[in-house]
Amino acid sequence: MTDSRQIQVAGLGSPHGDDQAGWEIVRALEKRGLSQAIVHLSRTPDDLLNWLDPAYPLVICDACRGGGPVGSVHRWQWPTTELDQVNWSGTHQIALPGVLSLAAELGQLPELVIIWGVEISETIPGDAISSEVSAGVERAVESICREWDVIRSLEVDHA
Amino acid sequence: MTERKIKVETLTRVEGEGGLYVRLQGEQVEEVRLEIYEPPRLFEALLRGRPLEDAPDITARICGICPVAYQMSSVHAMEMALGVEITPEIRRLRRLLYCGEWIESHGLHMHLLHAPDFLGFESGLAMAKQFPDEVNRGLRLKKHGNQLVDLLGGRAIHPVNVCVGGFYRIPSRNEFQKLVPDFEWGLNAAIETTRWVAGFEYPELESDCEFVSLSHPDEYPMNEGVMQTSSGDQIEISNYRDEFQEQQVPHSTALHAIRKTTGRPYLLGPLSRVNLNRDRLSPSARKLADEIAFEPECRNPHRAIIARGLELVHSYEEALQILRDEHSTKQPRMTYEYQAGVGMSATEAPRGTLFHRYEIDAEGKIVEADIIPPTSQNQAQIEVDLKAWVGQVIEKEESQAARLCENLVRAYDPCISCSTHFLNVTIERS
Repeated sequence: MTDSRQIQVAGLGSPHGDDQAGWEIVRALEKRGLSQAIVHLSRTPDDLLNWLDPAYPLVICDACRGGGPVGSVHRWQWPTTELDQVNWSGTHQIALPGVLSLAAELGQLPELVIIWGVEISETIPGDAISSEVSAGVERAVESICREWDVIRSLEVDHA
Repeated sequence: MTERKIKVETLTRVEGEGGLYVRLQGEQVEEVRLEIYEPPRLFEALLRGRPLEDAPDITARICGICPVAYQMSSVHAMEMALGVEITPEIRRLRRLLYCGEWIESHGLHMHLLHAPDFLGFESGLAMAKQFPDEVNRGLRLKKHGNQLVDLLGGRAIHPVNVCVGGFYRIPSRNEFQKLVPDFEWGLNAAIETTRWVAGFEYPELESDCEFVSLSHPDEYPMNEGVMQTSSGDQIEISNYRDEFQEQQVPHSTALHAIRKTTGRPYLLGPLSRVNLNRDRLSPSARKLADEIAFEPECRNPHRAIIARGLELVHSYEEALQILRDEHSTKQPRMTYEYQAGVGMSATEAPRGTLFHRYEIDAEGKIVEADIIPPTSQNQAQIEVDLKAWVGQVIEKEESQAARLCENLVRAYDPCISCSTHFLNVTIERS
């Protein structure tokens, strides 16, 4: 059963260059003042397991590689094997798909999980985010805002 | 005589990406290379010309899983250059912060990264199906470490509360006390975890490495001390670069490290720390080490997971002691005046000794920076141990031999991201 009143939003990334994409999306969503958002910034995907609540839908925002031109925006809904076709950052090879699978195995994963990825190329430590990825961040934010109320209005599935 | 080449493209369950190349002539191991491609030393270049106060913030970005280690090495080095002496309170709280990082790192590594190897699983996920309680325990331990780093570091993802001279803010006693119930649970869980891993079946491997770690006469080493070796030498931190020398190797852009005195590689990390400082582990950790009959000088790298367990117990016990105490919040940091100088520090990251050296000018700007992570220093010794290990496993079917090589690399918990670009594994048989 998933509670549609609140939505957990996770930005994954690092302070390096275009790898900030996930954090920038979440920061922009916070500025928009989206209602009922529970926001987290994480450095590594396994951080999700620290706070994930199966009661609320989950929106994950991250940089990714392998899905198209730099700055392009992708949306996936879990479960999907399409995530395995993309390169995700993640320490100790517990990348995002592995973390989501582990959370599911441990009964921690919400019913609804949506992943937004912004395509990046190489990440240079100390660099600012590129203009192409910034534009992608903006597009991702718009898309997330458009479907925000839809997600919140989803009927609660009573057992 | 045929040549065999076994290739493992990507090591799994290690930090970052990496690979291994092994070439055999018949059954003779001709060559073992940990092919780690180190990127240009961008962070050292980034630091030049920056205010010295930027060092903890910038270096914390080097590694997503050991930012505290980089901050600790940087602030202690800067304080040496400035002639700053921190208070016992600040000193203690820095150890508390380091406990948080060790708990986070060791808890995750033991449960999700290394334990699967001993239980016959491909991954932590596969293991979770049959050992959900253990995996949940590991995740809870990691969460505690995150919470402590979040509280005292100011943020779990990128600590911002550490500064040259101390902390920007010291949390209240009430904030510290809130963690006590979790840490009381965690201490028992850490003991349980160590007993669990002590019961695993371990492959036999005897490394003739030299163990090296920081050592302090009064405490288990974290932020202060001298470098101690298993051959009995003590090296002042100011002489670190003279004794522990980086050198180019033809097969990799990663620098290897050797001891100048011996001309040989050496090993840093939990196994070295426990071997060299066992009597300064916390009471529960010492008692547990005796209970599980952990040998006084363990030379089997596969058993490093047990050393991590003992350090996990120590970290919880020391953290509890500090969390329960009264803390003064009146002087979170020391003041200082700029002066030109050089400062060095070696602190014990979860994976081993992390060395920083800075030269600063009279305006407080960084002139030069030198950062030597533990994984860089361990690479040469890992190769030596791998060569011995390959000799023991090479008669097995290729994929199994490659997997057993990967298992050994995981025992060192290398933080390849700190010092490397990516690693592929290739074993050539001829």
